[in-house]
Formats: sequence, C-alpha cells, structure tokens
Amino acid sequence: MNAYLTPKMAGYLDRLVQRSCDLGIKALPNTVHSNGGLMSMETAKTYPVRTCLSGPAAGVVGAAQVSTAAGFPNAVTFDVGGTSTDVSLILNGRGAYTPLRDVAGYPVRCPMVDVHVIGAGGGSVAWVDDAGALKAGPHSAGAVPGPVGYMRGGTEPTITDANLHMGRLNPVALLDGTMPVDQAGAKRVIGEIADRINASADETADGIIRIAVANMARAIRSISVERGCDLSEFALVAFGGAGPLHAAFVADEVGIPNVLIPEAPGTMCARGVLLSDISRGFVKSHVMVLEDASWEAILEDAGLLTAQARAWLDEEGVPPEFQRTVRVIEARYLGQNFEVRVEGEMIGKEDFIQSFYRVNDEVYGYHVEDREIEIVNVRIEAIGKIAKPLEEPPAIESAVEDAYLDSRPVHMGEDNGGWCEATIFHRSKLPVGADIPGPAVIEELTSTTVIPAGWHGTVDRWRNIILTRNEG
Amino acid sequence: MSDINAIDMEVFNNRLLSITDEVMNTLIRSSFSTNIKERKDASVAIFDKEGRLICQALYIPMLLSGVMGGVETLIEKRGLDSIREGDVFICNDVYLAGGSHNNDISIITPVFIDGSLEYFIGNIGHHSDVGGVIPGSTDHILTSVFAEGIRIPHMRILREGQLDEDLLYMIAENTRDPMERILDLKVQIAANEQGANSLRKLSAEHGLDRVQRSMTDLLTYTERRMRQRLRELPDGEYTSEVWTDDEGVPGDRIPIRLTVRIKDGDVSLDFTGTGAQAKGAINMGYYPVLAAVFCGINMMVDPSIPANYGMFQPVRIDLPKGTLVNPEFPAAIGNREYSAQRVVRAITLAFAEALPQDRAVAPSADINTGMAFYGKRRNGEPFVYVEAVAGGVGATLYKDGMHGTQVGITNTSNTPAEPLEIEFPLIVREYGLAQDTAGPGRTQGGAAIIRDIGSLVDGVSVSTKADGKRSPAPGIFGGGEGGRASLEYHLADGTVEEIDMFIVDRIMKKGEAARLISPGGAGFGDPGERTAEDVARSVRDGFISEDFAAAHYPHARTKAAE
Repeated sequence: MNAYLTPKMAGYLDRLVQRSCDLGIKALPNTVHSNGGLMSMETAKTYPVRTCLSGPAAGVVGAAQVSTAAGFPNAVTFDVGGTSTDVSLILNGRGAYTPLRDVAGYPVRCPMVDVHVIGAGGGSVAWVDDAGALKAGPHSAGAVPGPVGYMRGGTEPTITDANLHMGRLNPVALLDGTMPVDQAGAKRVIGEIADRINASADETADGIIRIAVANMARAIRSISVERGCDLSEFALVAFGGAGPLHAAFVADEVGIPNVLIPEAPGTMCARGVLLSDISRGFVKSHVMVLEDASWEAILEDAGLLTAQARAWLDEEGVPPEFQRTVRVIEARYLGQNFEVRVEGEMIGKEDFIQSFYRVNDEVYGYHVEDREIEIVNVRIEAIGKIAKPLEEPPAIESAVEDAYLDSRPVHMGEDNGGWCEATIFHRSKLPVGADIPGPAVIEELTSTTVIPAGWHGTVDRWRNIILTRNEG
Repeated sequence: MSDINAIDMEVFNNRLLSITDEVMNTLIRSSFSTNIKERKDASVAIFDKEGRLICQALYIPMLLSGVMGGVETLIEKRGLDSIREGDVFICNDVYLAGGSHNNDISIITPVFIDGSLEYFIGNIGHHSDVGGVIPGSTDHILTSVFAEGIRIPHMRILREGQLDEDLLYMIAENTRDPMERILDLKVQIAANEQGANSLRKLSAEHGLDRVQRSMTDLLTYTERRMRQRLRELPDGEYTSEVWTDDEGVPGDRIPIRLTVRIKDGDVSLDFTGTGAQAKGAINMGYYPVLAAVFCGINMMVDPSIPANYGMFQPVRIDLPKGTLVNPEFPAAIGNREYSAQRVVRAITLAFAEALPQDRAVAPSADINTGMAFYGKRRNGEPFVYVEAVAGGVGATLYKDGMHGTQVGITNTSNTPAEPLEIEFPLIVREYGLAQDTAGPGRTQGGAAIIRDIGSLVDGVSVSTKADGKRSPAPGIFGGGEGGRASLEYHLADGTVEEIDMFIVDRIMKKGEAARLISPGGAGFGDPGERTAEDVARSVRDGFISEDFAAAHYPHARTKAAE
C-alpha cells in the first residue's frame, strides 16, 4: 500500500509545498499521521501509508488534550457527522492505538489511533423492512438530497428528521438562523413511517433515535470491553455536528456519568492538528523469551533505536531541548497472541517483569506469575514537543440570562418524560460557571446540545459544557 | 405487523448483542488456546428460559449451532426442573450433548433472577487438545469417537455456585496441556458469569417482561422474514448430488444427495440417498449438519438475517440413520468440517436452480484443508501448528470468482509467513495463486492457492490432504469445474514425489517440503460466451496460461495469442 501511494502523495505534497511557498508562507508545513502526531513532508512522502485515517486521529488527539485539561484523562470520543459515528478511547490522556487495522479492505500494520466507525449519523435513513423491523442506517441520505427537513430534495426520513420532529433541533432554522428548516416536512415523513409500524409519530421519532443510540452504544461498549475498561470511570467527549445532540442519551445507555462538549464541536479535528507534537515510532521486532541474555539484547536495541530517534528529530529540525523519547516494550505470555505495551525506562529485568504484571492486571484483570514472558517488539517513540499548550479562553462579561433565547416543547424521549418545555440558550453568551438544569437545549453555530431532564450542564473554565447526571 | 414492538425489538436486540460481544471479547482476550485467541474459534449465545436461541456472537459459521446443541439437549435430557440456581454445565459430546466435536467444549450458565430461571448464556471454544490418540485430538484418519479425546456429557462444573475442582482436574489431566485447559475453562466460566450479570442488570433496569417480550418479538420477526424470503422462491423440488473425496481414511468417495422442497414459505431438506457413514472422522453429528444447512441457506436466501430460533422454524431436515450426516455411535466425527463444506456445496447447487440466476453462485473450493506440523521449537518446547488453506471462489452471473478465499462454514485468518517462520523451524517456500485453477465459464472461478512449506530441521511431522482432488467444484449453467487439488512432497535433493491424497504424520528431514495446491472455484455459464478480451486479460495477468486458454476458450484463441 505504501508503494502504491508514494508517487501520488509525493506529487501532491510537492505541489502543496510549492503553492504555500508561492503564497509567501515561509514556514514549511507538517502533516498529521495515523497515530495522531505530526511529521514533515519529507517523511510523509516516504511513508504515505502513515497518513491513513489521520483526520479522525487528529480529532482524537484534540479531544484527549481538551478532556485531560478538563479533568477527564479517561474518555470515549464520540464524533457524529452526517453519515457515520466515530468512537475511540482516550486512556490516561492519550488516544488508544492499534498496531494493525484494515484500510479499504487491506491490512495496514503501523500504529494508528484506534477509531471505530459505524454507519449511523444525522443523515442515516430510517426504514422498515418487509418483515416489520425498524432500522436506522447504515444507508445515508448524505448532504444531498439530505434530510427531508433540510429542503435539498430529500424524501426519506432520517435521524435528523426525527430530531426536528422532537424539537431537539431548532424547528425554524439552524446555523445561527442562517439555514431555514422544514419541520412540517420532517413530521410528515416521520408520520408515514409511523403508520407502517403501527406506532404514533412521537413514538416513532423517539424510536428512531433510540435505535440509533443503541447502535452507537454498542460500538462504544465494543471498544471499551476490548480493552477491559469500566465505562463508569469515563467521560464522553462529544463532537461533530450531531455528537452533542445524542451524547446524554448515549451516556445513559452505556453508564457514562459525564459528557464533555468542547467549544466549536464541529471543528474538533482541525483543532487537534494544532495541539499535536511531531512524533514517530522506531521499532525493532525481537521475538524471544525473556531471560538475562535476551534482556541485555533488548537494552542494546533500545539504545540503538534511541540514537536513531534522536537523529530523526534532528532532521525534523526539533531543537534538543524539545526532544523526548519514550521506551515501550511490547510483550506477552508465551503462547498468547496479543502483546501488551510496557512503557518506561526499566533497567533491571525484574523491574520490567513487575511492570508487565501490572499492565496485564490493567488490561486483562489478571497475571500469571510462573509463565514465561515473550518479548515481541522494542519501540522508541520520538517526540518533538512543539505544540502550544491549551490556552484558557478570555472570560466574557455576561450572565446566564443573557444567553437565554426562549423555551419550546421538546420531546426528551419516552424514558425521560416525553414532551416537556425546555429552556433554550445560545452557547456564545454562556459565562464560565453557568449551570443549566435539564430539560434544556443549547444552540450554537456548528452544533446543538440537548440536556434531558435528570441532567444538568455547566460551563467550565475552558468553556467546555460538562453534562452531568443528577445525583440519585 | 402490529404484533411486534419494532422499536423495542431493535433496541433490545442491540443491547443483547452488546452482551454477547462483551463475553466474546473476554474469551478472546483472556484465553490461552490459540484457536480461541487467534482464530476466534469460539462463540457466545443467549437463550430464553425455554432454551430458544435469541442471539449469538460468531465468527466461524461452523459454530452456528454449537452452544445451541448443548442447551437444547441439556433441557431435553435433564429437564428444566433439575437445574438449580448456581449450577453451571460443561459438555462437548456429539452423541450425548449436542456437541460439534470433542475439541469444542461448551460452558452453559443458567441465569436466575429472583429465584427463577429466566435465561441461559453459553459459550463454546475450540481447545487445542482434548487428549485422544493424536496431538490436537482431531484427525480424519481416526475411526472412533473414543480416539478423539475426552467425551463430556452434560456435567455440573459448578454445583449451586461451587466449582467442582475434581471434575475440572479430571478433564484437564485427560489432555496434553492440563494447565492451559484449566485456565481456559476458568476463563469460559468467568466470561459467562460476566454475561449473566449483564443480563440481570438489563432486566433490572428495563423490566424482565419488557426484555422477554422483545426476545419473543425478535423470534416472531425472524421467522416471518425467513418465510418471506422463501415465499419469493418458486415452489418446487430441487436436487443436487455432491461427493466427498474419500472416507476420511483412504477409501471410496461418499455421495451427499439432497432434495430441497420449497412450498409456500416452508422448506425441507431431505438427505435420503446420502452414502453410508465414513470409516474415518468426517461424519457429522446433528448440530454440525444444522450449522452447515443454515450457513448454506443464509448464504443463498438472506445473509443478514439474525441467527436465532425463529430462523430455524420454517426449515425441516431429514437425515437418514447410519449415513455420513447421521452416523451410528461411536463413529468418529472430529473432522466434520470436511463434510460440512460439501453439505454447503449441495445446498448452493440445489438453490442455484430455485433462485433467479443473478443470485446463484457456482461452487467454490469447498474444502477445509489443514496443513498440520508438529515438532520441537528452537528452545526444545513442543509445538503444533495447523493452518487452513483457502481456495478459489465460484463465479456469479456477472463477476469472476474471488481468488484464494475461505468460503462456507470456515472463516479463519492465515498466519503470515513472518511470524510463522519466527515461531517455528519452518519456511514458507512459496505462497501464491495457482495458474490454471480458475474454472472456465462465461464468468470464471477464482484461482486456488499454492502453499509450499519446508522444514529447517530434522524431525518435524507433517500431515495434510489434497481434499478436492477427486471431487472438484462442479460448474453451473454450462460452466467448467474448478481446478483440482494436488499435493507433492519435495525431498532435500530436489526429487519430487507426487502424493495421491494424504500425507499422514510424515517425519520431515531438514530441507524437505510439502507443497499443496488447493482447488479452484467453478465457472458460471458457457465458456464459449466469455469475451475474447476477458480471456486475453486473464492470460496477460497470469491467471491462465496460453494452453489453458486454447483448450477451454478456443473461440478466443486468435485474440489471446495476438
């Protein structure tokens, strides 16, 4: 795959650099790689395979920084767009990675942020099959023809139409009032599908959302149980246009107690790029049973790889004071097929073994003392710390009342009291420390946040909205 | 269609599948047996209180009925009344406990809520060795189920919450790796307990009645959907006949004869006329037949239908006693997957007549050929390495068949050459697609695979079989048969021995190698209708030779030779 991509990528990147020079921009651009860091154009031209899925990876990096700063180093990212939902894990402030995944049907064996994609987004079509089951997606109406309520020619009911029917999306216009919507049209097509399953229109709209939420929840459970995580200790970081719309409901379904909605949820991936460091992994596969002699060999490899990593950072133009290296040994019990990552600069073999046991406890919930350990890879992660840290946004002089728009009837779901009168706010005027009880809706340019009854939303000092389930 | 609650059904189906996913994940991540871990040769299923299959996590179709067999026979033999809270059952036997083969051990956990039995959750996993005559326990040359390792009827491995250490010890010590068996069985028990807790939690949060109502709705819906698909097919009788290559041990080919009768949303599959049971281990118990039948029907009729009790309702299966598909005790059954593949082939062929042509598919390399090596690792520890080799896929009306892909009841990943060579004293001398194995037709079959593996040391044992040599994939609607399997043994001096069918436990010297070419996929439609451009392209890409083109596509010859 790398060989196939090289000529195309090299040509493209050369043109990009040329044009940015022509524009008088002096700095050389970097690009994002699949593991959520930056690399130079030269590296990208040699290893274009490392750019696979780098866009979503950047979103995860951004989300990791934002959620860690907000006090949630363990989180699930929840990025809902028009056609799909991307979910991934943030563990101890870093995006969980995978050493291997399929890209367009081909296995790619290089570390990538582990993003799991399912076919459920705002444009996903709700339909009834000939034996009477109601489904949401995976077919999507896309941007054009799009949801019926968006008036671009769509004729099939979508998740967005269900949200319009329920008043969760503004029934008049979106994008700060610049995009008129047709709530009556949405209600009409929801009504049609309701007749086919012998349910009321309200039940059906709610049902479509519940089915979508159940799909999204299954994806989140799947990635978390794969790594043995207890979701009650996680936060949900919701972004993409439709993430904040469904976040509280998904959190309820999977038992996550807190939801974080960053500023400008629709542009999280781009923000992630600005928060990324230069990074690259240097790895040597070294499959052998752990014993004194092999441990010596491993230390020697680690030394050589560290030298390579430093040399590469020099080439990338990272000054020595910004250079970091992290040593990771990937190991498993002899006979197992999944290795765990043991991070740290252990010198003694016994120290390594204890760390290996600890990681096994974390990942699998057990370790076995007398079974042989097999080393698989020695990895040095080279990092050039160039990213600017998160900056606290300036305080705005306003009161919660300034952000209040009006109130409207919103259907919060059969299990959350059905139709209720929800207060509506505009996010831009919400001050730090604002505390909004559900049922409420917070609107902004790129997204809409729904706070069901039983939840409340506060604005933290980074201007994130934190949704929390009420006690009891 | 107002009889089901479409919304709750879909929501709870997802929630239940989350539970089976979760248990499956725990199994895969925590187990030691490579078959469970790497090949995902395991399955997890939830049943209602009557033992009806509700949903299942599954990667390998052969295990479709794996847990189901254990649960249904448990209820049939022991009765629901005999089950106490805290009991957990273990079983594997084909003749006594609805098993698949002895290596596949099921753990069945009845789930009690407020003192009454409300669900079952079960999992099944392939254990690398369960004792018996041969390391790895299954081998097609075995002639009795007693030779295939320990037989376990339904036994309580936990009795009212207490683990029966004696029983666990007895089972483990009847295998070649007792430590690994104990760890894996404990993982299976713990994984079910995790699932049982999730089922209790789901029922507590949403109400037992609501969960159970959704389960019943799901079965009603699935049965209705299956009947709907069957009603779309013309009523009638469709027959097919396929053959095994041998009896597991060297011997005559055995016919599988199938009559499919479709009538107004019901279908019966009658295997009358199928040959007598095999001497070797390729016989099939009832539940493996069921898995193969549903794999075949789903492939042809509705691949995405939920796998549950409802799906089985419109289908009747008749299996004459004493035959390959219903053997008399104690026939060996360890390699039932060989015959299961042929049952799928028989169904594919019969349904090709019933379906519109654009949904028919020509038979594929319906094999399950394993290459098995055992010997000592470089550090002196013993190893057993088994891989299943893929073959060509049959052509469809508009498309050539895929090359080198596993089909039917098997779906396992291959081991890449690099880790294989790092782990074992073996070398992959050649791995590629085999020329002239694509069955000719208007659309051609997929190409077979060459797998040539040598030993780097003296003393490695190799066993394999040229399955699909005598019974290649037959073409449909005038298409030609797929390439036949072939097997060679290469001596260190370069001498090549042609092997008829089997290599059994041959001890390799350093530099020797076994070279297997798997069967190809069959063609669809008259080869005379294949366009000259398509023939020329296949020649240019190397899938077929000039000679092959000349022999099978004479009309395109001038064009191809240009």
